[in-house]
Amino acid sequence: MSFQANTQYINYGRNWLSLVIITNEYIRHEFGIKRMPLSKDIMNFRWNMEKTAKEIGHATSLKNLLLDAQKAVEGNVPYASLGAHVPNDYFPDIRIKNAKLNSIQQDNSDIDTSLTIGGRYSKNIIKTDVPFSVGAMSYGSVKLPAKIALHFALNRLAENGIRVLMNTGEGGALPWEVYGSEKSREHLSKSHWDSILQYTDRLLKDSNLDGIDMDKLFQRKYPLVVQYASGRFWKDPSYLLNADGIEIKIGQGAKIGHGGLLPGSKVTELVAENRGILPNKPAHSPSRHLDILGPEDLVAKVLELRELTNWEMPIIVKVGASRIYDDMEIILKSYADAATVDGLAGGTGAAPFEVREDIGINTIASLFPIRNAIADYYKTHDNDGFKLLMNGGIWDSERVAKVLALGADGVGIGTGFLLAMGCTLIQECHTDICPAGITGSHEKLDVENSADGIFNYIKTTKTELENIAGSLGRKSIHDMNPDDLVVSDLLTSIISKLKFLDGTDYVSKIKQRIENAMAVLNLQGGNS
Amino acid sequence: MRLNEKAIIRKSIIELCNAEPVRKESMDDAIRAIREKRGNKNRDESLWDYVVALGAQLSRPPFDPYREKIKLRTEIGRKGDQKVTLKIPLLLYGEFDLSQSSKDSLNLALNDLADSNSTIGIISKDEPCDERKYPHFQIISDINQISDPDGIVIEYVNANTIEKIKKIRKEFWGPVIVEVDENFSYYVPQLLELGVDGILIDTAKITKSEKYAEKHAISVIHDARASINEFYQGKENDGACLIVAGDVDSTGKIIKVAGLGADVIGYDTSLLIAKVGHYSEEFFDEEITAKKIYNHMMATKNELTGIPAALGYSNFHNLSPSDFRTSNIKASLEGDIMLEGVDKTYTQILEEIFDDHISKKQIQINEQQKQKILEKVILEEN
Amino acid sequence: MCGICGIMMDDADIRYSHVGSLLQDMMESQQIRAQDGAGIAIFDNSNSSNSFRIKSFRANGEKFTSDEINSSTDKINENLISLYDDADCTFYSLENKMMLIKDVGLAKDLDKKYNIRQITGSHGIGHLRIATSSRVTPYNTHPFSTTILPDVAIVHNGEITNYNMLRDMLELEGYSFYTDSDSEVIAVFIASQILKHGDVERAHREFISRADGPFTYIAATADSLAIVRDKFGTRKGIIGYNPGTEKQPPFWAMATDLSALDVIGATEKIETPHPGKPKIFYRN
Repeated sequence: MSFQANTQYINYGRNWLSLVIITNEYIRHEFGIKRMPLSKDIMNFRWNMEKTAKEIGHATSLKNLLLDAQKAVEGNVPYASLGAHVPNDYFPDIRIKNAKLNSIQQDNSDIDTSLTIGGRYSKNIIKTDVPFSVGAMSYGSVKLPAKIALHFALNRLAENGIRVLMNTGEGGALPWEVYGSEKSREHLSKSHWDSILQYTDRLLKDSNLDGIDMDKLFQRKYPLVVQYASGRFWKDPSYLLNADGIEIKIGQGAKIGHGGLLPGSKVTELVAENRGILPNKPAHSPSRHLDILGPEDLVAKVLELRELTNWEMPIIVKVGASRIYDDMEIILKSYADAATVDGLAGGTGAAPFEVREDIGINTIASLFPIRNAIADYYKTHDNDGFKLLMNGGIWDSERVAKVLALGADGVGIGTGFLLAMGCTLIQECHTDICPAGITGSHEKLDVENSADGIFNYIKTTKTELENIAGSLGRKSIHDMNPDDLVVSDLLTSIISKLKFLDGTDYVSKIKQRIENAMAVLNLQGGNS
Repeated sequence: MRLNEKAIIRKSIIELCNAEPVRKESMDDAIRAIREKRGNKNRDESLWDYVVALGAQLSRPPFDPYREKIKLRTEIGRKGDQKVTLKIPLLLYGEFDLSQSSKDSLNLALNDLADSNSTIGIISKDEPCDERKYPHFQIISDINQISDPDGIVIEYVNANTIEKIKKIRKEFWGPVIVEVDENFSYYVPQLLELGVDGILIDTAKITKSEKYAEKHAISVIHDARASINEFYQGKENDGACLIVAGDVDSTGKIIKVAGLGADVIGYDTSLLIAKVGHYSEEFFDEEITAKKIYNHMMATKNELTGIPAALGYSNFHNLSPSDFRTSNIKASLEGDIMLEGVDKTYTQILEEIFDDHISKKQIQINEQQKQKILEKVILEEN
Repeated sequence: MCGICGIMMDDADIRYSHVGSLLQDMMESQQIRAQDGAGIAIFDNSNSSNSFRIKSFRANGEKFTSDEINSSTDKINENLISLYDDADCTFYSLENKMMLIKDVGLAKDLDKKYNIRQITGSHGIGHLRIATSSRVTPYNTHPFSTTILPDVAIVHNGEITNYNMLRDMLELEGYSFYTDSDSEVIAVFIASQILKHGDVERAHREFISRADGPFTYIAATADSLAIVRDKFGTRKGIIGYNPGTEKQPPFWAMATDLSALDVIGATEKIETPHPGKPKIFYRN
């Protein structure tokens, strides 16, 4: 049994065995699992543990037994991938008032959905036509065909007048991302350029993609943000200098405080070469930047990068959502142009299971402290165009709109693009069984089809966003505000400070309950 | 995330990827629809799943377990010369009725662990093995049963137990741990006054009692910690420990239980592995089973150092309730855990609104009445 | 957070050295590190009066003013209790031989407002604050002092991550806290340990073993000055010696950045304190 999603407790009272088998068959079919990611030893041992547990009436979950079996047989910390199994992410409990995804009567194509990042301290500004970007997924954590599909799709969109921001992830950028413009190739020596072409050739051959036209490949028409992460996986400064923006990655929602990790099985020779590390060994990046221990170090780092890039490039600081008010306060003071905040549901290529599940808070829950931190900062400062980008559990237009209405300026989508390429959500990106061939497996990903999928996904999401804003009578998607949202659940109202459909908020709901309780207890109290 | 919700997400995105410009309904509408159909949406998840820890980012840097040594060491015992040291704060505890060969492999594994600087202990009714390098806490009901253990565990039955403990305390110098029942809050201070070194609560047993019938292990742990803290009010803490067993079957739970106030965790997965040895091979091989127990514990140890490091701690025992948040009102009520994002417990929010309401209405309500009203409001929540 | 510094005159006979001026130079040279607040504590042992000053910040809306009560030894408790009950007031210093001044803003502004350069004494500490997890207010600025013992002050760079746990423990023992800063717990812990055992070194060792997170702090009592780094040495700290000239008596100096030692010429016997081992200078 390869899935870890099923947290259902073993029901000893019923015919549990057949239940498990039926569910397994269903899952195999639905998720396209062809073989098990775990060894036979582990599966056998897990099976035996389950039988023993059943015999003695020991209550535990299937998920735990699988993890325990992995630990017992291999002695390693079990890993997991994509986002945490968040039992309550609040999204479905929030609705957009009167919003329509579909709008036949009205033409909403003139609605502004653009996003700009930068200008707070940087000379350059990144301008994109959609408020969502391609989240940080590096070469290595996803395989080459997926990266190329994204590259082609974004280029095609740019040709159609939709510029979408791409984030490279922490594993360095691919040659055509770094040297995708005439300008970036200007000062290259002949031998350097040849070596780049040679490496590209090997990359393409390795994935059986050598039919791709080099000229078509080596042009990047979309803006690119490169990550400056604790592992510093890149070969030379051109990685930073040829990009459009730099994101200093302090942490990500899936593994806050843990640093990055690429399992040894995914560090092929080519990946290793791209990252400047040894092949076939796991690529650990430290849990923190060894030179960023506190706020003053972050300030120093931002200024260092500003000097390096001649104060031209927008600089973003990315953190996972935890002590987010304090962290935001620091980012606001750090001379950064924008902050990226990654919620608990944010995905990853590989993270220790327990770290992914248990550390960090939800995207929606982090928005209230973030709004507070920004409001507190701007009490004493003039508005200077600081931008907030949210990640984690945001997959479709409606969720994008909800997050924007709650105060974000833009969002990052990661898993959504994987789904667009055929991901089946089996969450085995850290192993080599990906049925879609996006992460690690011998399955072949169809680059053209995937690029089509991404192209349509972005276009449709943009249209839907326009329709949502249009049906609310807004000129720009950024004009949405919390009043456009309603909640259907008390806790969601407390967390997000949003109102119910009847216009009341959690305070009045609770006051009503207090009144009721006082009436029942006959405690109206005497007027003093 | 449930499987059917995953299927919705996939379906929704696939719709977006098709050239048809617009979907019929959004992802959240579809998820809401199946949730409504299902009714009670918290049915399957354990309350523990709603509890998360706050990681370290900028306002505090995380430690790096590859560079910095994360301490897991724990001492059980309040007086200097009678302490028992654990290198991983786990005591194996559980009724598993192990065969002799399972016990032998367990002994082998525990010795191997002790040799690799990862000592854990065991709580058991059996007589301790002679050649052991790990602490064995013997469960006894009478002083005559003591046979050279490192510590003893005695169950609190009634007031007579106090007399027994007094007698034991005179003759036995190692740590004495008392397993308590659901009424622990009445007598824990008295036990600690007597010099008892640790309080053992089995949440699985206690949540079956009438007193905690509707409650979760979280509230048992919270109450037990509170009654130990009550004893230390105005005194210097000399280290009486709280041992929590019962509902702990994963590393995540170990972390959360420790965060809520447990010093040592009663853990039983190693015992399950020892028992499974009978299934996995045709003949029971003690060494193979011992190796599995050892492997499992070493992996668990790595997780136990990794998570505090990610939270900015170099010592496992520095986890505290303030490091945890929840996305569930019940969990907040049971363990006084703050709600995520707002950094207040649900009770604090209620009290704030109540005080505001009362002062605006200009009515007078005394503390007792206030508690009654709030209790009523909380009942309505459930 | 922050930049810290400290000065200990090498010769106790020279009582009226310009410790304030030296600290001010060091603070200004480290200003790049932090801009949210500045403060100093300077000790003058020539003061032998029995009068204690209890200082607090009084909130007037968004603004704060510093209040000072003069109190004889037997009235201290009474005064502290009445201060504790006053919701608008936040205690920040109990002093006899010490002079503790702190405010939000830059070091230069502090000097302008309080003439720091004119303050003399035998030793002192200074601090520049950048807020990490508590608000920017005068009372959250360092140095922190305690109501447990007079004349104890600490300045701190870094985070005490298990602050909540230590604070809960100390509050259970009956000690009061006045701010939500993690640094206050250092002052209260050290003071409570000195009160219990009367041993400064033991107090610091105990703190190192109990506290978690990356930190360097300088703690001053009427007779000692200690610089302490966490057990992994994750935070900076550096000590230097100025052998003195005809005009300037010799002194030890400590700071976060080397630049702060350079600017006052304390460039001999440079060392970094060993992680996890307190380096203590006693007043001769």
